[in-house]
Amino acid sequence: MKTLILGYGNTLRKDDGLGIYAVQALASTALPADVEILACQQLSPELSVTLAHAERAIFIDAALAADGETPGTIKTRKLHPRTSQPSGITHHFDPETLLAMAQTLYGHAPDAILFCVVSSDFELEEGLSPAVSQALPDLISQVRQSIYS
Amino acid sequence: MTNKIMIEQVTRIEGHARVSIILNDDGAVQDAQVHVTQVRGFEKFVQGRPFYEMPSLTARTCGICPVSHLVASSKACDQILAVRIPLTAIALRTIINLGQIIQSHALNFFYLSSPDLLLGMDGDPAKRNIFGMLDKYPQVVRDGIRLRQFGQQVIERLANKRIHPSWIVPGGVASPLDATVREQILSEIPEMLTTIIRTLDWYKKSLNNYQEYIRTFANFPSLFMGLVSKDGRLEHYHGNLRVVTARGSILADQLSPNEYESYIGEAVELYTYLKSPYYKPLGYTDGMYRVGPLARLNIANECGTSHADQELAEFHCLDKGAVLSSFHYHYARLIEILYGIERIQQLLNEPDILSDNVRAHAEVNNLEGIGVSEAPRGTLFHHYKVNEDGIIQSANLIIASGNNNLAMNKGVLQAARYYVRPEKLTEGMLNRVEAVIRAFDPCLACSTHADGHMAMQIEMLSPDGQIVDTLTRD
Repeated sequence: MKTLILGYGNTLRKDDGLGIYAVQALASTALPADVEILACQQLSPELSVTLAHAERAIFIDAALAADGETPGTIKTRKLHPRTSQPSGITHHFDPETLLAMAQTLYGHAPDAILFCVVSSDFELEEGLSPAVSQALPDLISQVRQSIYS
Repeated sequence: MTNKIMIEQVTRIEGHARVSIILNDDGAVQDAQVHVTQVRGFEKFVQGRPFYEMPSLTARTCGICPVSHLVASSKACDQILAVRIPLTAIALRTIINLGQIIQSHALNFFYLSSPDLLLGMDGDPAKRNIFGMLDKYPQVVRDGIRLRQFGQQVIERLANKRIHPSWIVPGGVASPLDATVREQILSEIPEMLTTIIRTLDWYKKSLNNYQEYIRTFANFPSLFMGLVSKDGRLEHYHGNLRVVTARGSILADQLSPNEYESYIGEAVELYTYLKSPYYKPLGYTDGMYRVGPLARLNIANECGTSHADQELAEFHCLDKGAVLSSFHYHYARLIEILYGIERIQQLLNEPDILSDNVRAHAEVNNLEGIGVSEAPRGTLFHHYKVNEDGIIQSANLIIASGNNNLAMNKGVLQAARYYVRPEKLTEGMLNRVEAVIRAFDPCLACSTHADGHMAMQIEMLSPDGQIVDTLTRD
């Protein structure tokens, strides 16, 4: 099954770069031939073309900790195409909007899942916070399990 | 009594800006100002850095057009090295510069501006964006995505990185072109040509729908400036500067970029951090000029590629002299996309394009370097002074968007006089003021990446500071 793994974020904003570090780590492991890995700073409309050619998509991103959430917690949720993007800002496309664009424009949106690691550290620095850094191996393991399941 | 309408905190932009519209005692629009409230500081914090870092440093000025800064900066560094870079390197730098122009123009036209053009300036702001286009104009969205993707992939395939690539270096480029990459890009040219020609076709047919905007969007006499080749051809990488009047006559030609300080002045206005460049021989503010796609097509005799030359000839018929309305920046952008695609094809078919000889090497041989190129938004100047160790002593950057500052302010005033009814502010009025700014495609408004939707608040204040009326868009 053709799988697209998209890690996105800003490596100059501490844990916001989690998605990039994660796909870089994944790329250094053995993966099936039909897995494509992309690292990008932000999601943009052009990615809808790439998504439309995939059968399955895995998004990886950091998430701002909500009240009571512990940094380093890994969360997953299934994604569904959704056309509402309240602000209309192309700088901040979300995965569901991209899926909706793929569906509307190219007739197909892949099954999709989002892996998030919770964080509260988005300072102007490079590198991951200790909590998120410690969660990275487990995140990679979960993503790999998802690929092979 | 004087009233002032403030558009405060234009949010979600790269940097900050606001617009003030000043009314006279009779309630008519008297003046308008675009306040750029952000200071970047590049010219200061690069002091003390080695000159060869400048391309990478200045590329961080912008996430939309870093290649433009890489090109201008590297050209300045080439002068410090006192090298003539290999012809293949010139061709490769030109290709990547055109790739960026294509993707940047596609971004502005399809993502940011076409929602206004196709869904209407008074359309529901919640739907007047690329998402609102999905159902009604899916082919337009697909075409925009494809063209932007093509431009981005030209950059990524040549430089191995889409944003802030480090491939353009002092002396040339870091590595030669791979034959496979050449074939990949060439294979996509026919599809890209079909796409842009289709776009030009529907756009030209729809021009009659925009007559009011053509009349009122920064439509006034000004000079136009940009690079041209030795024979007056459209040029984005090399060449000298040409200045053309509103009548379409050449005022100055083949001006050396190295002597820019003799003909470009930079004025400072207290209401904005953005400087106001002007053409010195005519003084400030008579020396107001415009740069970018509209200017480049006004000053060029021809493009040098077959389809683009046909389009240029048609474009030149819009007005008797120079094409004056800034609304026609949209049209000019499409022609430049077409030209970029054709020119990339020409360059990739040059016999030495795969040559390994792509970089000249030298030490510091000059203590000063000036690099000028055409960015998507207009002429870009990088001027460095170094010591004998190559350490930057001073830097002056004249950014493409800055060249248009005077004209943009005048355009906002013109639109405000035509569209603003102070007795009742409307969202459509806001959008028209935005649309004038968006036609110039400055880094400010462009970086909102808000398709036809900038968060704004307008307050109309009485002289004693009482709020007379407020209009807010979230």
